[in-house]
Amino acid sequence: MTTHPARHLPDMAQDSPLLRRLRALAAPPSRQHPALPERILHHIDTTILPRALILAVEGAPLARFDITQRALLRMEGPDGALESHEFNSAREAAPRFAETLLRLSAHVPDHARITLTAEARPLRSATTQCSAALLQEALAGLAAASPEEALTKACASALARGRLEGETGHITCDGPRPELYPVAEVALSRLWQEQQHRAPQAQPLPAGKPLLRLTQLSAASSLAVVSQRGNHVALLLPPEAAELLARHWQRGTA
Amino acid sequence: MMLHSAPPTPPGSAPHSLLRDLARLRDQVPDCRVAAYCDLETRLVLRHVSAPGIRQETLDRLSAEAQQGFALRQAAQEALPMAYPPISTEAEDIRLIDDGGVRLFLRSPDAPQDALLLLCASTESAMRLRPEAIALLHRLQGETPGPGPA
Repeated sequence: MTTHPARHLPDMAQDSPLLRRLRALAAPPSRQHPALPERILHHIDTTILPRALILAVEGAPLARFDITQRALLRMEGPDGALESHEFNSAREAAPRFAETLLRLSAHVPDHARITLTAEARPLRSATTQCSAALLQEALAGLAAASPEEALTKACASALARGRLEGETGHITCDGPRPELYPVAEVALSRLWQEQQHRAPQAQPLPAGKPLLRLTQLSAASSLAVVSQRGNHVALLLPPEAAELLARHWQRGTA
Repeated sequence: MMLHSAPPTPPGSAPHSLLRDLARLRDQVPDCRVAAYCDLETRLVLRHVSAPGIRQETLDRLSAEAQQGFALRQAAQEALPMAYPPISTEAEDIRLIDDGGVRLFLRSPDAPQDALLLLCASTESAMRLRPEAIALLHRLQGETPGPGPA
Protein backbone atom coordinates (compact mmCIF):
# COMPACT_ATOMS: atom_id res chain seq x y z
CA MET A 1 0.00 0.00 0.00
CA THR A 2 1.46 3.38 -0.99
CA THR A 3 -1.02 5.81 0.47
CA HIS A 4 0.09 8.71 2.62
CA PRO A 5 1.05 7.29 6.05
CA ALA A 6 -0.29 10.25 8.00
CA ARG A 7 -3.82 9.66 6.72
CA HIS A 8 -4.01 6.31 8.41
CA LEU A 9 -2.98 7.27 11.89
CA PRO A 10 -5.71 7.43 14.53
CA ASP A 11 -7.09 10.83 15.49
CA MET A 12 -5.79 10.53 19.06
CA ALA A 13 -2.22 10.59 17.74
CA GLN A 14 -2.66 13.80 15.74
CA ASP A 15 -0.54 15.95 18.02
CA SER A 16 2.25 13.53 18.71
CA PRO A 17 5.79 14.49 17.71
CA LEU A 18 5.97 11.37 15.60
CA LEU A 19 2.90 12.36 13.63
CA ARG A 20 4.15 15.90 13.16
CA ARG A 21 7.41 14.48 11.87
CA LEU A 22 5.59 12.12 9.51
CA ARG A 23 3.42 14.94 8.24
CA ALA A 24 6.49 17.09 7.66
CA LEU A 25 8.15 14.32 5.71
CA ALA A 26 5.05 13.63 3.64
CA ALA A 27 4.13 17.23 2.93
CA PRO A 28 5.38 18.97 -0.17
CA PRO A 29 8.20 21.44 0.52
CA SER A 30 6.97 24.88 1.49
CA ARG A 31 9.00 26.37 -1.34
CA GLN A 32 9.12 24.23 -4.42
CA HIS A 33 11.86 25.99 -6.31
CA PRO A 34 14.86 25.59 -4.05
CA ALA A 35 14.76 22.12 -5.55
CA LEU A 36 14.56 23.47 -9.09
CA PRO A 37 18.31 23.45 -9.73
CA GLU A 38 18.47 19.90 -8.41
CA ARG A 39 15.61 18.84 -10.70
CA ILE A 40 17.35 20.34 -13.69
CA LEU A 41 20.65 18.77 -12.68
CA HIS A 42 18.92 15.40 -12.44
CA HIS A 43 17.69 15.79 -16.04
CA ILE A 44 21.15 16.78 -17.18
CA ASP A 45 22.75 13.83 -15.44
CA THR A 46 20.33 11.27 -16.90
CA THR A 47 19.90 12.54 -20.47
CA ILE A 48 22.01 10.79 -23.11
CA LEU A 49 20.38 11.70 -26.42
CA PRO A 50 20.13 15.34 -27.53
CA ARG A 51 17.23 17.01 -25.82
CA ALA A 52 15.91 20.49 -25.23
CA LEU A 53 14.66 20.75 -21.67
CA ILE A 54 11.97 23.43 -21.43
CA LEU A 55 11.30 25.03 -18.07
CA ALA A 56 7.80 26.51 -17.85
CA VAL A 57 6.25 28.37 -14.96
CA GLU A 58 2.45 28.46 -14.91
CA GLY A 59 2.58 27.21 -18.48
CA ALA A 60 4.81 30.02 -19.76
CA PRO A 61 8.25 28.92 -21.03
CA LEU A 62 10.96 30.61 -18.97
CA ALA A 63 14.20 28.94 -19.95
CA ARG A 64 15.60 26.26 -22.24
CA PHE A 65 18.50 23.90 -21.64
CA ASP A 66 20.21 22.03 -24.47
CA ILE A 67 21.47 18.72 -23.14
CA THR A 68 23.24 15.72 -24.57
CA GLN A 69 25.43 12.93 -23.22
CA ARG A 70 24.87 13.90 -19.59
CA ALA A 71 26.10 17.44 -20.11
CA LEU A 72 24.62 20.90 -20.51
CA LEU A 73 25.64 22.50 -23.79
CA ARG A 74 23.74 25.72 -23.72
CA MET A 75 21.18 27.53 -21.66
CA GLU A 76 18.79 30.22 -22.75
CA GLY A 77 17.55 32.13 -19.75
CA PRO A 78 14.92 34.80 -19.29
CA ASP A 79 17.39 37.64 -19.80
CA GLY A 80 19.26 36.43 -22.82
CA ALA A 81 21.11 33.44 -24.10
CA LEU A 82 24.25 32.11 -22.48
CA GLU A 83 26.03 30.39 -25.30
CA SER A 84 28.36 27.68 -24.10
CA HIS A 85 30.90 28.39 -26.83
CA GLU A 86 31.39 31.87 -25.40
CA PHE A 87 33.37 30.29 -22.60
CA ASN A 88 36.91 29.00 -22.67
CA SER A 89 36.23 26.08 -20.37
CA ALA A 90 33.46 24.26 -18.60
CA ARG A 91 34.94 25.35 -15.26
CA GLU A 92 34.56 28.93 -16.37
CA ALA A 93 31.06 28.37 -17.71
CA ALA A 94 29.67 26.46 -14.73
CA PRO A 95 29.42 29.45 -12.37
CA ARG A 96 27.51 31.40 -15.02
CA PHE A 97 25.09 28.54 -15.50
CA ALA A 98 24.75 28.09 -11.76
CA GLU A 99 24.13 31.77 -11.18
CA THR A 100 21.41 31.83 -13.79
CA LEU A 101 19.79 28.76 -12.26
CA LEU A 102 19.77 30.38 -8.84
CA ARG A 103 18.38 33.59 -10.32
CA LEU A 104 15.64 31.60 -12.04
CA SER A 105 14.82 29.93 -8.73
CA ALA A 106 14.62 33.25 -6.95
CA HIS A 107 12.27 34.70 -9.56
CA VAL A 108 9.78 31.84 -9.56
CA PRO A 109 6.90 32.71 -7.22
CA ASP A 110 6.11 30.45 -4.28
CA HIS A 111 3.83 27.54 -5.16
CA ALA A 112 4.03 28.32 -8.88
CA ARG A 113 3.30 25.37 -11.16
CA ILE A 114 6.64 24.35 -12.65
CA THR A 115 6.97 21.93 -15.54
CA LEU A 116 10.04 20.52 -17.19
CA THR A 117 9.51 19.08 -20.65
CA ALA A 118 12.19 17.28 -22.63
CA GLU A 119 11.95 17.44 -26.42
CA ALA A 120 14.09 15.62 -28.98
CA ARG A 121 16.30 17.95 -30.98
CA PRO A 122 19.04 17.66 -33.58
CA LEU A 123 22.57 17.16 -32.34
CA ARG A 124 24.64 20.31 -32.28
CA SER A 125 28.31 20.66 -31.71
CA ALA A 126 29.66 22.50 -28.72
CA THR A 127 33.14 23.20 -27.47
CA THR A 128 32.11 23.36 -23.85
CA GLN A 129 30.04 20.84 -21.95
CA CYS A 130 29.05 21.30 -18.33
CA SER A 131 28.54 18.05 -16.50
CA ALA A 132 25.97 17.89 -13.74
CA ALA A 133 28.77 17.33 -11.23
CA LEU A 134 30.52 20.51 -12.30
CA LEU A 135 27.26 22.45 -12.13
CA GLN A 136 26.50 20.97 -8.74
CA GLU A 137 29.89 22.10 -7.50
CA ALA A 138 29.31 25.61 -8.82
CA LEU A 139 25.84 25.72 -7.28
CA ALA A 140 27.14 24.58 -3.93
CA GLY A 141 29.84 27.20 -4.03
CA LEU A 142 27.41 29.97 -4.86
CA ALA A 143 24.74 28.92 -2.43
CA ALA A 144 27.03 28.54 0.55
CA ALA A 145 29.27 31.52 0.12
CA SER A 146 29.71 34.15 2.79
CA PRO A 147 32.59 36.59 2.37
CA GLU A 148 34.64 34.52 4.80
CA GLU A 149 33.85 31.27 2.97
CA ALA A 150 34.62 32.86 -0.36
CA LEU A 151 37.96 34.08 0.95
CA THR A 152 38.79 30.71 2.52
CA LYS A 153 38.12 28.92 -0.75
CA ALA A 154 40.18 31.42 -2.72
CA CYS A 155 43.08 31.16 -0.24
CA ALA A 156 43.26 27.44 -0.90
CA SER A 157 43.90 28.00 -4.60
CA ALA A 158 46.15 31.06 -4.22
CA LEU A 159 49.60 31.08 -5.78
CA ALA A 160 50.71 33.50 -3.06
CA ARG A 161 49.04 35.10 -0.06
CA GLY A 162 49.93 38.23 1.87
CA ARG A 163 48.40 39.68 5.02
CA LEU A 164 48.70 43.21 6.33
CA GLU A 165 48.02 43.88 10.00
CA GLY A 166 46.15 47.16 10.08
CA GLU A 167 47.43 48.10 13.53
CA THR A 168 51.13 47.64 12.85
CA GLY A 169 51.55 47.60 9.08
CA HIS A 170 53.28 44.24 9.43
CA ILE A 171 53.12 42.09 6.27
CA THR A 172 53.46 38.30 6.14
CA CYS A 173 53.40 36.16 3.01
CA ASP A 174 53.03 32.48 2.27
CA GLY A 175 51.84 30.19 -0.50
CA PRO A 176 53.33 27.84 -3.08
CA ARG A 177 54.91 30.50 -5.35
CA PRO A 178 57.43 32.54 -3.33
CA GLU A 179 58.43 34.44 -6.47
CA LEU A 180 55.02 36.16 -6.25
CA TYR A 181 55.39 37.29 -2.62
CA PRO A 182 56.86 40.66 -3.70
CA VAL A 183 53.71 41.38 -5.71
CA ALA A 184 51.54 40.86 -2.65
CA GLU A 185 53.96 42.91 -0.53
CA VAL A 186 53.96 45.82 -2.98
CA ALA A 187 50.16 45.85 -3.17
CA LEU A 188 49.76 45.71 0.61
CA SER A 189 52.45 48.33 1.22
CA ARG A 190 50.66 50.67 -1.13
CA LEU A 191 47.37 50.15 0.67
CA TRP A 192 49.11 50.75 4.00
CA GLN A 193 50.53 54.05 2.73
CA GLU A 194 47.16 55.11 1.39
CA GLN A 195 45.59 54.24 4.70
CA GLN A 196 48.04 56.48 6.51
CA HIS A 197 47.54 59.44 4.18
CA ARG A 198 43.99 58.99 2.99
CA ALA A 199 42.03 62.08 2.14
CA PRO A 200 38.51 62.06 3.56
CA GLN A 201 36.84 61.77 0.14
CA ALA A 202 38.97 58.73 -0.69
CA GLN A 203 37.63 56.71 2.23
CA PRO A 204 36.34 53.74 0.27
CA LEU A 205 33.85 52.35 2.74
CA PRO A 206 32.64 52.69 6.28
CA ALA A 207 34.90 50.62 8.52
CA GLY A 208 33.85 47.02 8.82
CA LYS A 209 32.33 46.51 5.39
CA PRO A 210 34.34 43.98 3.43
CA LEU A 211 35.63 45.12 0.05
CA LEU A 212 37.19 43.06 -2.74
CA ARG A 213 39.49 44.66 -5.29
CA LEU A 214 40.21 42.52 -8.32
CA THR A 215 42.41 42.93 -11.38
CA GLN A 216 44.21 40.64 -13.80
CA LEU A 217 47.97 41.21 -13.88
CA SER A 218 49.27 38.55 -16.25
CA ALA A 219 47.94 35.65 -18.29
CA ALA A 220 48.43 33.36 -15.29
CA SER A 221 47.77 35.63 -12.32
CA SER A 222 45.17 37.98 -10.97
CA LEU A 223 45.47 40.13 -7.88
CA ALA A 224 42.65 40.07 -5.36
CA VAL A 225 42.79 42.26 -2.28
CA VAL A 226 40.22 41.87 0.46
CA SER A 227 39.96 44.73 2.93
CA GLN A 228 38.03 44.94 6.16
CA ARG A 229 38.52 47.05 9.28
CA GLY A 230 41.90 48.29 8.11
CA ASN A 231 43.23 44.78 7.59
CA HIS A 232 44.05 43.57 4.11
CA VAL A 233 44.65 40.19 2.48
CA ALA A 234 46.27 40.05 -0.96
CA LEU A 235 45.94 36.92 -3.05
CA LEU A 236 47.69 36.08 -6.31
CA LEU A 237 45.23 33.76 -8.01
CA PRO A 238 44.86 31.96 -11.31
CA PRO A 239 42.42 34.13 -13.29
CA GLU A 240 39.63 31.53 -13.23
CA ALA A 241 39.91 31.29 -9.42
CA ALA A 242 39.72 35.06 -9.25
CA GLU A 243 36.50 35.04 -11.27
CA LEU A 244 35.05 32.42 -8.96
CA LEU A 245 36.02 34.54 -5.97
CA ALA A 246 34.30 37.57 -7.53
CA ARG A 247 31.04 35.65 -7.92
CA HIS A 248 31.17 34.05 -4.49
CA TRP A 249 32.11 37.35 -2.91
CA GLN A 250 29.24 39.15 -4.55
CA ARG A 251 26.75 36.58 -3.33
CA GLY A 252 28.29 36.57 0.12
CA THR A 253 28.14 40.32 0.55
CA ALA A 254 24.77 40.88 -1.13
CA MET B 1 22.39 68.32 -13.68
CA MET B 2 24.76 65.97 -15.38
CA LEU B 3 27.61 68.30 -16.36
CA HIS B 4 30.12 69.66 -13.94
CA SER B 5 30.87 73.34 -14.05
CA ALA B 6 33.09 74.17 -17.04
CA PRO B 7 34.54 70.68 -17.43
CA PRO B 8 37.31 70.13 -19.94
CA THR B 9 36.09 68.45 -23.09
CA PRO B 10 37.29 64.86 -23.33
CA PRO B 11 39.41 64.10 -26.38
CA GLY B 12 37.62 63.12 -29.56
CA SER B 13 34.16 63.74 -28.26
CA ALA B 14 31.65 66.53 -28.21
CA PRO B 15 30.13 66.85 -24.74
CA HIS B 16 26.63 65.88 -25.80
CA SER B 17 27.91 63.00 -27.89
CA LEU B 18 29.79 61.60 -24.90
CA LEU B 19 26.76 61.99 -22.67
CA ARG B 20 24.70 60.18 -25.26
CA ASP B 21 27.28 57.40 -25.47
CA LEU B 22 27.40 57.06 -21.70
CA ALA B 23 23.60 56.97 -21.52
CA ARG B 24 23.48 54.34 -24.24
CA LEU B 25 26.06 52.29 -22.39
CA ARG B 26 24.26 52.57 -19.05
CA ASP B 27 20.90 51.73 -20.59
CA GLN B 28 22.16 48.37 -21.82
CA VAL B 29 21.69 46.73 -18.46
CA PRO B 30 18.90 47.72 -16.10
CA ASP B 31 20.97 47.59 -12.94
CA CYS B 32 23.75 49.90 -14.10
CA ARG B 33 23.33 52.99 -11.96
CA VAL B 34 26.21 55.17 -13.10
CA ALA B 35 28.38 55.51 -16.19
CA ALA B 36 31.04 58.18 -15.95
CA TYR B 37 34.09 59.46 -17.77
CA CYS B 38 36.93 60.46 -15.50
CA ASP B 39 40.28 62.22 -15.67
CA LEU B 40 42.45 60.14 -13.35
CA GLU B 41 45.20 62.73 -13.04
CA THR B 42 42.87 65.29 -11.54
CA ARG B 43 40.50 62.68 -10.08
CA LEU B 44 37.69 64.58 -11.78
CA VAL B 45 34.57 63.06 -13.29
CA LEU B 46 34.15 65.03 -16.51
CA ARG B 47 30.82 63.58 -17.66
CA HIS B 48 28.40 61.18 -16.12
CA VAL B 49 24.92 59.80 -16.44
CA SER B 50 23.13 58.22 -13.52
CA ALA B 51 19.72 57.04 -12.46
CA PRO B 52 18.76 57.85 -9.83
CA GLY B 53 20.84 60.97 -9.33
CA ILE B 54 24.22 60.72 -7.68
CA ARG B 55 25.89 63.04 -5.19
CA GLN B 56 29.09 64.84 -6.03
CA GLU B 57 30.74 63.20 -3.02
CA THR B 58 30.04 59.78 -4.50
CA LEU B 59 31.50 60.82 -7.86
CA ASP B 60 34.59 62.15 -6.07
CA ARG B 61 34.93 58.88 -4.18
CA LEU B 62 34.55 56.85 -7.38
CA SER B 63 37.24 58.80 -9.18
CA ALA B 64 39.56 58.53 -6.15
CA GLU B 65 38.98 54.78 -5.95
CA ALA B 66 39.69 54.44 -9.66
CA GLN B 67 42.93 56.42 -9.42
CA GLN B 68 44.08 54.41 -6.41
CA GLY B 69 43.02 51.13 -8.01
CA PHE B 70 45.01 51.71 -11.17
CA ALA B 71 48.02 52.89 -9.16
CA LEU B 72 47.81 49.68 -7.13
CA ARG B 73 47.55 47.63 -10.31
CA GLN B 74 50.55 49.33 -11.88
CA ALA B 75 52.68 48.84 -8.77
CA ALA B 76 51.72 45.17 -8.59
CA GLN B 77 52.44 44.62 -12.29
CA GLU B 78 55.86 46.19 -11.94
CA ALA B 79 56.65 43.71 -9.17
CA LEU B 80 55.77 40.67 -11.28
CA PRO B 81 58.66 38.27 -11.87
CA MET B 82 59.89 37.57 -15.41
CA ALA B 83 57.95 34.32 -15.56
CA TYR B 84 54.72 36.26 -15.28
CA PRO B 85 54.85 38.91 -18.02
CA PRO B 86 52.13 41.56 -17.65
CA ILE B 87 49.09 40.80 -19.70
CA SER B 88 48.77 42.75 -22.92
CA THR B 89 45.21 43.92 -23.09
CA GLU B 90 43.09 46.43 -24.94
CA ALA B 91 41.93 47.81 -21.61
CA GLU B 92 43.03 47.55 -18.00
CA ASP B 93 40.26 46.99 -15.52
CA ILE B 94 39.74 47.06 -11.79
CA ARG B 95 36.66 45.72 -10.04
CA LEU B 96 35.63 46.74 -6.56
CA ILE B 97 32.92 44.51 -5.11
CA ASP B 98 31.05 45.04 -1.87
CA ASP B 99 27.51 45.04 -0.58
CA GLY B 100 26.79 48.17 -2.60
CA GLY B 101 27.43 46.38 -5.90
CA VAL B 102 30.30 46.44 -8.36
CA ARG B 103 32.43 49.37 -9.46
CA LEU B 104 34.15 48.58 -12.75
CA PHE B 105 36.94 50.95 -13.74
CA LEU B 106 38.41 50.74 -17.24
CA ARG B 107 41.21 52.56 -18.96
CA SER B 108 43.21 52.13 -22.14
CA PRO B 109 46.96 51.51 -21.81
CA ASP B 110 47.41 54.10 -24.56
CA ALA B 111 45.58 56.83 -22.65
CA PRO B 112 46.02 55.89 -18.99
CA GLN B 113 44.82 59.24 -17.71
CA ASP B 114 41.26 58.64 -18.96
CA ALA B 115 38.92 56.10 -17.43
CA LEU B 116 35.37 54.92 -17.62
CA LEU B 117 33.61 54.19 -14.34
CA LEU B 118 30.57 51.94 -14.13
CA LEU B 119 28.53 51.30 -11.02
CA CYS B 120 26.37 48.18 -11.35
CA ALA B 121 24.41 45.92 -9.03
CA SER B 122 26.22 42.75 -10.07
CA THR B 123 29.57 41.70 -11.47
CA GLU B 124 27.70 39.91 -14.25
CA SER B 125 26.08 43.15 -15.38
CA ALA B 126 29.35 45.02 -15.17
CA MET B 127 31.16 42.42 -17.25
CA ARG B 128 28.32 42.43 -19.78
CA LEU B 129 28.94 46.14 -20.30
CA ARG B 130 32.71 45.74 -20.48
CA PRO B 131 33.11 45.15 -24.26
CA GLU B 132 30.96 48.14 -25.18
CA ALA B 133 32.70 50.28 -22.57
CA ILE B 134 36.09 49.38 -24.06
CA ALA B 135 34.78 50.24 -27.51
CA LEU B 136 33.65 53.62 -26.17
CA LEU B 137 37.08 54.23 -24.61
CA HIS B 138 38.69 53.56 -27.96
CA ARG B 139 36.21 55.75 -29.78
CA LEU B 140 37.09 58.58 -27.43
CA GLN B 141 40.70 58.22 -28.56
CA GLY B 142 39.62 58.02 -32.18
CA GLU B 143 41.24 54.62 -32.53
CA THR B 144 38.65 52.01 -33.31
CA PRO B 145 35.19 53.31 -34.03
CA GLY B 146 32.47 50.72 -34.12
CA PRO B 147 31.26 47.97 -31.84
CA GLY B 148 33.55 46.28 -29.37
CA PRO B 149 34.54 42.63 -29.31
CA ALA B 150 31.80 40.10 -28.65
